[in-house]
Amino acid sequence: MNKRVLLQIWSIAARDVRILRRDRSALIFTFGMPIILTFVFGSMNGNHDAGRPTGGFKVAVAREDAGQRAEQALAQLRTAGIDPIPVTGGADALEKLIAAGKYSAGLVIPTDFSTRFDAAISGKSGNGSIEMPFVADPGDTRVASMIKGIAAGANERLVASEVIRQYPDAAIAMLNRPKIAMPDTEIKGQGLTPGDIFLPGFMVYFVFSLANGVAATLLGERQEGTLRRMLNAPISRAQILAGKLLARGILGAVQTLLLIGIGIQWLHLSVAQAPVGIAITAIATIFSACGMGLLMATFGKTMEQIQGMTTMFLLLLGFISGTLIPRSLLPEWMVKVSMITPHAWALNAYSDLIQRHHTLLSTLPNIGVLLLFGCVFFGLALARFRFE
Amino acid sequence: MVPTQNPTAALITVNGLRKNFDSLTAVDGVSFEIRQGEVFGLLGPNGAGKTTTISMLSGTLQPTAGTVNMAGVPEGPERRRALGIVPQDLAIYLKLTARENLEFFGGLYGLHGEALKRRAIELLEMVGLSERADSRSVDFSGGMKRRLNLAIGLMHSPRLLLLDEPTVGVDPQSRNHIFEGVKRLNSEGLTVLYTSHYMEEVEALCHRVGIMDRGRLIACDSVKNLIATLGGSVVHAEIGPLSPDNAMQEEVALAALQARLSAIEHCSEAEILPAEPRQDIAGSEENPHIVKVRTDAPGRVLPTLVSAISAAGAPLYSLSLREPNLEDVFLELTGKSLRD
Repeated sequence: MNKRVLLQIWSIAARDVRILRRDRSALIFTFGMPIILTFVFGSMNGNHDAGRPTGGFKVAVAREDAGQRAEQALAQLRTAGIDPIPVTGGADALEKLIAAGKYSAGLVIPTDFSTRFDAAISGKSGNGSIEMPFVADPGDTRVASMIKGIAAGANERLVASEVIRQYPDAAIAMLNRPKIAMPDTEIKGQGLTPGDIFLPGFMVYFVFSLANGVAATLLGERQEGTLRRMLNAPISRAQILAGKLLARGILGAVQTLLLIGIGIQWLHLSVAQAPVGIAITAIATIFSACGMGLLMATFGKTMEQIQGMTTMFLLLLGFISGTLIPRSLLPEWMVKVSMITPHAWALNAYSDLIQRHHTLLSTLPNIGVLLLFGCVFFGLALARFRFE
Repeated sequence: MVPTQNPTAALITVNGLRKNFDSLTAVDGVSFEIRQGEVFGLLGPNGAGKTTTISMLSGTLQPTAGTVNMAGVPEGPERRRALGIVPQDLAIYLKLTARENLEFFGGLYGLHGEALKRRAIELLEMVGLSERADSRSVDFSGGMKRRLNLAIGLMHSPRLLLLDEPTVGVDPQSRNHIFEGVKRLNSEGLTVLYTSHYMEEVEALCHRVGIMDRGRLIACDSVKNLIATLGGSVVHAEIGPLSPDNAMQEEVALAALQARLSAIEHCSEAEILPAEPRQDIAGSEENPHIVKVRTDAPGRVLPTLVSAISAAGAPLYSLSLREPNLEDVFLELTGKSLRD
């Protein structure tokens, strides 16, 4: 490819970027919205100020017992990662709040909690149980069951600590019993920040939303006659498409850089371990996304068709691929289907590098598939697009 | 005034060009040549096939049959570099300034650096947009956009300029700019293909004209030769009834007048046609006639014509001499007006 060919491609790209710079609403949608949404989602799911891992589950607690055991139970819950939110008005008020969907779950510490606890530990109540009623939002059972498990563990620790304090001999005997060890195997990537968790999906989704712009601008040129005028010039059709792709690619790169910047600054995104890998993944993702945009332009005859089709298609791919919903929540067949989307491969690559701390070499297959998607999309667009 | 040129060698030769769109034949076996240095006009009503012909000449549309040869220039990028195309519909970037539009398209043709900037300035001056060079074209009037549209087609100094209806929807000032620009470019040696459905434009600008209708080229020659095929100027005389009270006598008198008209020398065609009924001075309705005479020597024919009418006893209401034009040629060839 000689210098003149590259200069012609660059001319087309530079012109598109110049036009976009003068289109304020397009700038807001390309850069502003992704930044705002990333910030909002990231902040909703973690404390960006503390720089610690994701915040605890907020659980409504109706404390009807003023005793010391209730205080200790709350302390154990906090240690376990639950953020107890006090509710006034007792169990009834708590149930209303849960029913209204204000919280996923709630705990009631009844008036006799401390009394029952002490009686049970001392053996005065026989086999009498200690109760801490749990209220779950039926609309959010998955989170509620997680909270219940964590709370149960916290209560176990509260009971164990008191048993050890009051019956040290028995406790020592218990501690010396044979054990089945379950040693932790350290996996790289533990202690993920909100940025590590959310940014990969956002970067992929927002970059692929550029496809909409690629398709619209190509169709717009055809409708306004400027595409025909370019065809009259001594340049090839592939150069025209490459120029359009490069223009949006530049925007995609700026968008990704901004998201990474926001991620590092506000959501403690970890990129230091694989900056080159992330950069290469970003380029491959942008190439694939813009190629998809070119291909989409071949399926619509009017701007309305293109806008409607790309919006719905990108949303569908966002859900299927796991960029909008974690793939662990998808049914098995959908997880398999997700691998036909470039989004899924891009997400794999980013997740491997950012969350699992893989090397660039090990994520190269993902990047290769992304590049292949881009080439296929570009080739199909070149063959299918009606330039006239 | 048509520019003085003496074109001889063919720059473009079009042979048997045809284009079918499904069952529609948009261009049907068109053949003509455009000579070096001339302004060649393609005249025809909307839908005649002019734009389709230009698209095939420029190479953006593949002909169903036929060939387009350009002297010494093979098909492909070299041909495209030799052609400048000004499309009928505006093809400019509204968010870019006039200068940016010109520099962008110039860049596609390989211009760069100082040469690119200089050429843009030259053309902005030529089309009268120097003062608005750095204004975005979205703020331009329709005529200014048209002028920019023209300038873009000239950025790379083409050998042949294809102008497709460049004055549609243009204000008089912009039309004048475009006209003067085309004349100046042609006087500097640029060959031009000019399509229009305005016969006045084609008559004023073109050395030779091809007339198209329903995809076919129905005539091709110089404006003078085409008009000459009609047999000269047309004299129209409106006369009153010869014998208002007696229909039979009126018939006889008209036949006698027709015989006198046919005997006039230098008169290739003479006929008497009924005119619109009108009211005379007394308020009663009368049926006048139009005497239409075609002649190549109007100065000699007029006195004889007036004498013949007078001798027939008919009152002469009006007399007009009209030089024939391309509109008449089109009417003669197709039986309909260009603006039908």
